Amino acid sequence: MKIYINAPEFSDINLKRGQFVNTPEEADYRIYDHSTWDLAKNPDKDILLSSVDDEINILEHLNKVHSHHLIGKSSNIATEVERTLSILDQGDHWDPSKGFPSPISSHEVLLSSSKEIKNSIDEVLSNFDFSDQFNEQKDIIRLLANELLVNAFYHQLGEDQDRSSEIILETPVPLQLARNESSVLLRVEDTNGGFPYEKMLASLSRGFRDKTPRQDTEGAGLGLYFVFKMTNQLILNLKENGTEIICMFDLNKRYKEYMKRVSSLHYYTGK
Amino acid sequence: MSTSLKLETQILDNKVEVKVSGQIDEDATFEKILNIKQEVYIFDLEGVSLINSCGVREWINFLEKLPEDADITYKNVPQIVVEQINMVQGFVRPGARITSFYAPYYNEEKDEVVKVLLQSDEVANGKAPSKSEDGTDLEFDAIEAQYFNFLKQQG
Repeated sequence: MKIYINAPEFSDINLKRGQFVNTPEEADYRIYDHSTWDLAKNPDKDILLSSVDDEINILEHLNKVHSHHLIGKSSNIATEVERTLSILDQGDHWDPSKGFPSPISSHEVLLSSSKEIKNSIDEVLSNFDFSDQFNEQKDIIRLLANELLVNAFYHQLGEDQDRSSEIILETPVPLQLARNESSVLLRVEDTNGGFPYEKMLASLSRGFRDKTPRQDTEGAGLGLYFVFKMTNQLILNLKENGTEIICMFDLNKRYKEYMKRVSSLHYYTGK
Repeated sequence: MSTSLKLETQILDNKVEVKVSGQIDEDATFEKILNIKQEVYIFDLEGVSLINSCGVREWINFLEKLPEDADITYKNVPQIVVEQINMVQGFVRPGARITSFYAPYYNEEKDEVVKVLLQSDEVANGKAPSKSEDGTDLEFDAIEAQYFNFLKQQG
């Protein structure tokens, strides 16, 4: 795998794999930062490393080049870059067994009815140990799980269903909450036929731009915006019949550290 | 804590105080409050555990149905709601006030973050007030410019 890096702000990043080349034309993948993103051209090859606001990353950078990989500045950015390159090189999806190694605990429930959403979230949260995280983390995960599950049930077959009706699915929706030594993982997988990248970017862009709920649709159009804003890494695996959505949170005792995050966005198609 | 939305009202003279608890989501209805015509509305949000994106819309639409000249106050706003007010427009109607809210403070001795109830007027020039717990000074555990941004939305 040939890699071209033009990211002055991240000059100290130490990648251990790949062959580094001097021109973007030679490279399989190209890594840029906020200051050099104007040189990016190819959504499939170009990766953005960023330390700037989520809003700038979405409204300016990703709307310019629809890159599938935005990596926010963090203490373990090199690991995230290497994992991203490795998955891309193998034409794979993000696999929790590799991206989230050695789970200490994991709780999963399967939901068949939209009426089970609230109780299932409560069940998963009540079985989870939050003692070494800042106390707001539980409320944040409750909100994000709710948004992801509501979308999974009410966007069946691409339709935005009436939120007051009960939706019953043949294929249950998994809700998983797990943790290892350094992270917390929240996972929901739907069977909604797949969430196209352009639709996802449009949804995020609308959230950042308008910051108000939609009145013309069943959904308010702010859910994904909340999810992205409040997570360290938002990972979407586009699968044959649906989308697996994973939120990763760095384990943190300090809320202040959590607030300093720049959210990452990964969209894997497995190709 | 029950997850369903619960609204407890107390009417005194020309004002109604509403204790809001549970989840504000797509199932939320506020008819009970709209049927009470008062000049002053005080919303105690202490018990709110979640407001999802549809709940934000329900709340904003509810506020629009209150009389235009109504005097609206929020108090005991939980941290998760502060975060969301900071992310959306319209949750606090123009002219409304937030009198108190929760904010995170770090206790180094116990190595834990605690939620401290602040009065809005304690926040001067965007700076967090000093707080202590059992004689130990606490450190404000958020970024002031971000966390207190919601106070600019109030009237």
